[in-house]
Amino acid sequence: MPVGAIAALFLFTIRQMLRDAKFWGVAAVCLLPCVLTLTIRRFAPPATSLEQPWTLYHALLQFMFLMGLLPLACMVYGTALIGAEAESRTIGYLITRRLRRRTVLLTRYLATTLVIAVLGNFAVLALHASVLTGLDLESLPKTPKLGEWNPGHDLTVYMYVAALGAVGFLAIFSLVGLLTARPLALSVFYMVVFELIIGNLPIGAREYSLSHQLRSTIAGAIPQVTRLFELPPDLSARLYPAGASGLSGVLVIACSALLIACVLATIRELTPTKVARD
Amino acid sequence: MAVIELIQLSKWYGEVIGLNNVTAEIAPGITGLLGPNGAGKSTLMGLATGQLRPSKGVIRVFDESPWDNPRVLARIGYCPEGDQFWPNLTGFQFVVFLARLSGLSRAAARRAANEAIERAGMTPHAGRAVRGYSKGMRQRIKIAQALAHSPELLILDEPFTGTDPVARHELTELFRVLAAQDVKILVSSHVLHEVEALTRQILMIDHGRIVAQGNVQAVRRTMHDRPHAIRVRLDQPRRLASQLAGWEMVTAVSLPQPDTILFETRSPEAAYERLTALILDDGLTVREIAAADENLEALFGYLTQRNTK
Repeated sequence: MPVGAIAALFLFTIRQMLRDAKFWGVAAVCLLPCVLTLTIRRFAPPATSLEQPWTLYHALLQFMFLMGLLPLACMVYGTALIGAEAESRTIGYLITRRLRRRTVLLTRYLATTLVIAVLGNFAVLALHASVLTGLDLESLPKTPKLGEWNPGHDLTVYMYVAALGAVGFLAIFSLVGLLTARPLALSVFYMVVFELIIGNLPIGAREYSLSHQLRSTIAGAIPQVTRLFELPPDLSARLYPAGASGLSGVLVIACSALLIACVLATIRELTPTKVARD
Repeated sequence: MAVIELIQLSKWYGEVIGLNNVTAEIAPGITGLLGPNGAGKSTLMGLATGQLRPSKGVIRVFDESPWDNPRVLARIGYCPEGDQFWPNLTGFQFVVFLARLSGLSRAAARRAANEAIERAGMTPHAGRAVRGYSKGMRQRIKIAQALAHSPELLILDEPFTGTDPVARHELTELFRVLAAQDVKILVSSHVLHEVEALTRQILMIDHGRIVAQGNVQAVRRTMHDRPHAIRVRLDQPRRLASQLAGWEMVTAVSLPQPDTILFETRSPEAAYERLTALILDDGLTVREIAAADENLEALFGYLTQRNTK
């Protein structure tokens, strides 16, 4: 195993991401929930109960960030994991060296996952700070629905889940990037149909959706989030299985996607046809 | 033993044929791969470097399939034809990175990169970003990355494209030195004289088929009755045109554009040699010297026609 070559590609991938203007665009988009929070806090009347900032915090993190912006960031980078190199024709340099094609794919995947996970954690931290800075939680009246709120604990849960989401979504979109020449259309279709519709229905197929696995992880660690919306108890129990952890589910989905992606990278030509036959 | 073996090798891109049932052996030394644009040269090189998979038939490099085979690929240095770069890197970083991907340690990669850059004549420009390089510099840095890990086989796709006569001469010398050090070289070009300056051993392909192979002189005789057209772009074309008109080897001179001379000769080697000397002596500012493609296209047409008869 050429460890030095793998390390060089790993560091190169990270450096390449950070030097690209696209990364800073994606980072800015990931900070949108934070901007939205600051806007609401600037113009809305002050909170009158603990439940108001709590609802804003969890709703933005779960539905805007984890189900919207994080998958979007993963879509942008996952589909381009090999595709961007193919488009710029530099893929030829990577696959004519001492690394097997699957090693190139997995190394780039791991490096990208690390960057997106750190970015995701930063975005979660920024949202946490924007909701809680200047807020005296002790002075706000509690409600029977919420009871106590431990923001520090919730922050660690969301940071963990953001990293887990990066692992899963990047694996899925890396596979999509190798399946088709137009991966964005398929990625959007996957997100809407599988993650946003099937993943939110009380049916068996949702077990294969990352959104369900991530939500289960959150619900397992923060039981109060099952009360985020006024749902009938039986439906709430089915949507948020008590005490569940999505870790193994996410890892199974990610490993399956990566396994298929590795097979595709090994058997498929990665050089664009037009370039190859010029 | 052959370095590269092609056995009934075909490559299709959907309806388009890249290579068509090619059987050939590429021996050690320098082999020139000749053909007009779209003939199948890059396809052959893509297959030899494991970037493409044969649609039919077999390709063996060092007696093994190159597809996803690090053992074989580690022994190859590949210089692609196009401008394929990570534009933010400096020339040095580019070569070091690719040397590291070839398995060299950080220190060894830096040493090897410095040596390869020096051999390619890029030391003064190695610290600059590749995006600011001229076409000729880009060619040289691509050659440096192909050399850095000391490969046994160099596969060079149109390495002379965009280079000036001096660079062309220096690169030719470099390839000769490497060949003398037992590096096997497969070099493609659509310009016959570039390859002739390097080697006697050629493989000519057109429309995905081999139209001629073997010694260049034998192939050359087939085009003896055809004049060789050379295009020169420079600042003072009339000054050069008046000199060319006096050369007995030149059969026609024209000025198709204000900065371009087109002349025909039946002795291209001698003409190129004399032209280079003249440029250096007179200090002419030349932007491009190239064989006008039509002439070689005509040769390929002629060979193809002859083969199908």
